[in-house]
Amino acid sequence: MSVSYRSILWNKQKIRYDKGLVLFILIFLVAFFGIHLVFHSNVTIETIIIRAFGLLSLVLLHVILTIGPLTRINPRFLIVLYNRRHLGVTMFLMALIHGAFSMMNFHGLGDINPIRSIFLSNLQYQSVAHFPFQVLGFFALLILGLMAVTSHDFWLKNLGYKTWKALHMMVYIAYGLVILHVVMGVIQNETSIVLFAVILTAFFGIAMLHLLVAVRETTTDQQSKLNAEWVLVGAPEEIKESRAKIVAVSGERVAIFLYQGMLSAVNNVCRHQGGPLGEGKIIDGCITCPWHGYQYLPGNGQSPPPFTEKVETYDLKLENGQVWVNAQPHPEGTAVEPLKIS
Amino acid sequence: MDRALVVWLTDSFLLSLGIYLLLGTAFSIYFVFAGANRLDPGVKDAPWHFRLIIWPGSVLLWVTLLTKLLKKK
Ligand code: FES
Repeated sequence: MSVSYRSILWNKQKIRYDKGLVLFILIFLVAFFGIHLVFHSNVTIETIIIRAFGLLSLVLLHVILTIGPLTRINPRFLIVLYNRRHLGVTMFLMALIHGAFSMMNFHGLGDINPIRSIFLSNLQYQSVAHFPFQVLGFFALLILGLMAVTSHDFWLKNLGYKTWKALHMMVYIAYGLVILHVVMGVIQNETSIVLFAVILTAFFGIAMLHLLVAVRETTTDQQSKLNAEWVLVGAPEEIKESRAKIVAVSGERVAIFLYQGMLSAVNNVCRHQGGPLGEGKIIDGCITCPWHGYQYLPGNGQSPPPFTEKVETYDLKLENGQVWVNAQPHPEGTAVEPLKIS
Repeated sequence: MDRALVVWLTDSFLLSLGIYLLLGTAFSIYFVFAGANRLDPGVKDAPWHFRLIIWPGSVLLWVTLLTKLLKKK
């Protein structure tokens, strides 16, 4: 929410988060190297590095992809989501080490350019069993790199939320490429069925989790009638003090907050990184995003000065003890008289 | 697969990528020191390492940034 940019807005929680991340990586690497040196002492150090960093980035990628849906199911996971961007950049760096060592090890020794060699050393592009899986890894790394370098808020603001989001949704393309890369790599180099099974299970786990959350959210969305001028929210008693109810209004989600006997409706999407405002609460009179704490005034959808973020606001009405929200949003940051209910 | 075709595809792809990144690098030098300030006033008082952080992105996304800067004129 800074007015002028900082490289990283450090705070206690982020520092603790990053320390935890570094510790996890260290323990992982030590354990991986230890196990390899004891049980596979014939393997070269380069191979261990390639495997260790490959597996590490794969694990981190899975964590990254599960946080989003998990926070929807249980808010306790918000702690992991809080600094997902550092997790993403770290994951990319681990994948980069894996890629760089693989390239040096497998393509750096010939007399052809190593990057060219990734594409040309194995030409069995028509074969499933012998497909040059490193090409898939190359493209996955390219996408992950693009995401890593555009993760700062500067990019979010200057590319615009929609473009930035679209760019970062490419993580699913990268994930598909990574899974194919790993599965084919495993088929071609390993005899162990265990690793193969673990990867497929992880893949189906991620897919199921996303599906589950998507189904849950579309059913809530369908409960309200789309395209009507006024959409039913429900009885005010359904909303807890300082909390919100989320309803879908003409394809958008709207959060209706209750505070001090009044109701206000704002667009549910936080302007920072699209966090669900309606899952946050009102703190010090401001709607506070559950993801990183951006704040908005319920009465006008504006971040308190000096911040400049704004969300759309909506009209509300009370009829026969039921609250209705108008489907037509007001422009971002428009003041709307709160609906008094008591 | 036909070797000649794969070689041609690979070389065209890598050459285009190389040219794109080269132009991006040239643009990024301008962008990091001057263009970013024009696009977003929040950059003006940012520390030097912030410019380092946005540098790789400006190499990769130079076409988008250039379009945005030209539109701003
Ligand atoms: S998404 Fe980061 S604060 Fe809302």
